Amino acid sequence: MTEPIGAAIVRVEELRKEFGAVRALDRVSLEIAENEFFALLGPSGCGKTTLLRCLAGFERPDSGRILLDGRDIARVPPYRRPFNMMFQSYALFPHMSVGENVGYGLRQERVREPELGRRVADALDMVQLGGLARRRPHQLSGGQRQRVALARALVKRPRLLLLDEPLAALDRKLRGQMQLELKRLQAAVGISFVIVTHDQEEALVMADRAAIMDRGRVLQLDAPAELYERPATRFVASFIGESNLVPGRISFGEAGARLEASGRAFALDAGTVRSRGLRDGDRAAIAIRPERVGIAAPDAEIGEPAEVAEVVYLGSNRRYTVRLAGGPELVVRVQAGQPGDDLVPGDRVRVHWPTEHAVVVVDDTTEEPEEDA
Amino acid sequence: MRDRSLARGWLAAHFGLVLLFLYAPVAVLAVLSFNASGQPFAWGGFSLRWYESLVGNATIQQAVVATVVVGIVSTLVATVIGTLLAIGLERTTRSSLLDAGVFVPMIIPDIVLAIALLSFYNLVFTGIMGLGLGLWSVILSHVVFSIAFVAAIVRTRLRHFDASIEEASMDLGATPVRTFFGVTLPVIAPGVIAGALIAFTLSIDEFVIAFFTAGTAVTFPIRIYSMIRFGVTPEINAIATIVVAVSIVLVFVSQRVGREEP
Repeated sequence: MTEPIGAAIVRVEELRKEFGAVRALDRVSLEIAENEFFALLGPSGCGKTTLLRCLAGFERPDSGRILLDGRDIARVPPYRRPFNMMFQSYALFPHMSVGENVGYGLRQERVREPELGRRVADALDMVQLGGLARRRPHQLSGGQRQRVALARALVKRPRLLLLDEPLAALDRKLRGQMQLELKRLQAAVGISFVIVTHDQEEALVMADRAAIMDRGRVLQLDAPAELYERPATRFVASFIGESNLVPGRISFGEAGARLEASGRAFALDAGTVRSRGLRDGDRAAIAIRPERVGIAAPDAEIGEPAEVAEVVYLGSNRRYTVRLAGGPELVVRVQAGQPGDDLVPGDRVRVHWPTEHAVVVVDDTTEEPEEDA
Repeated sequence: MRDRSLARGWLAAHFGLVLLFLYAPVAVLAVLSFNASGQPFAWGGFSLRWYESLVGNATIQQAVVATVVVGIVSTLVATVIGTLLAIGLERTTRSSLLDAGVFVPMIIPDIVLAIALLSFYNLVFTGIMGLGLGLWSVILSHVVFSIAFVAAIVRTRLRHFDASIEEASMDLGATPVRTFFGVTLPVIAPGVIAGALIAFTLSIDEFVIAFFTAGTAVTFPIRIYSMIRFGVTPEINAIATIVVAVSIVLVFVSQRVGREEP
């Protein structure tokens, strides 16, 4: 896993949390750096929200530490932590105006006028709600409420801003705008954001780094491009984007590392195989992104022969399902205007891919699935 | 179209009859309270003399004061306990047995509750502690059934309460106590006020339980009862009219306050 970009603000060490028989957090360790946009990404029940609530102070971990400036705050109540949260439901106070909502945190710190009014106005300007301080939450649109929640959480200038599925309630178009806006805002205020999301696209667009979680564990923590191009496990490869996954066993020979799968062998990058901790005979899989598979004429001297089984037209590209000799199927994406963008089912082709894009991944999907948290 | 207007006519007639059934006796009472002659069958012209004679009646005034004291004190105590009870029930239990246990005092017949309270007070307060019953024991008795009403009304308000606003408050630096007074209480306040008004309304015209547990103290309903034993005097009509008016205002206010926001 890559090192944090800057100095760590918060270090999570060996965090565990169980709800009855469900293991929500299973020895989670990670660092959140100064001024970064950090995403916790995973399917529902993976433990990402529990981790966020442990950071906020609403859940107490069974064991492990949360270090802030070297001090363990795992048992410090939420009202004594310099973190603020933006709730999924926004959780605006219905009996207060927008301005009072935003000023609430400052009043707890006994900030007085005129500073109080100035900081509230600044926070509302920051989220472009300058004129709405006197409105009540129920008089606002969903998007406006979300901005109020954001201003309220940022006005105290927390060390960490925690965001729990902040865009889930917005429609698709607004969500896209807000992703970029949140990203810009994070860079502008220089506060580290930790966002929980189940939407991989959201994480890829916004995050500097993302932790992929499943069943209470962090499977991989990396920059979005690394997560996409070099997934560490089969789960990560299939959760983020689309992947061709071929399971098999590792074998080291004179020709280098290979993955042997149903009578064929795929060449692998030996360094990656070792860095994943895989040894000769281990179960593993290769993951190949559909857009990394090249298509050549059937008489070319490259790759393997295959037959086009299915064609899906997607406008800017075509998505083929091709069948290799012996059975395995691959999904291939070809951009419009590139060679091979006009195939029809039944066509014979040869498919090929650079060895570095056949990424070996740890096969973590055959364990018995546990109950969802 | 014709069918529709016919149906409307029937509905209106039905509604009118129900209103008549409910309020005709009260209306007659109110009219008689302004009857100068004081006789039920002879209209002697409009007059406020019965109300004037009430104002001059010291025993009635004392009873009114006693009832207002009982009403205010028992309402305050029952509102605090009932609100906390509602919050506790809503947050910590899904037990319908416990729910039932809390709400039973609402539906136990007054006479049963009155006898139970009297026996218990006689045993514990008079028998063991040697205290005479009085207004304080009426207050205690009214608290018993008012708690259930307050808790029931506050709970309906809590059903729609978004608990994440309490977390938001603590997240923003407010301690649990400040969160309760700054966020929880203001948000459920309409329910609390509605519950308090109902409790007060029930207390001021409650007779059976007060009669059993008052010892030698006299509340307003008890005073009326003792007057009525010598026949319905015109003053009683005036008193009853005032009580009805106060009750209507209180219920109306509690309905307005307790209404859900859009």
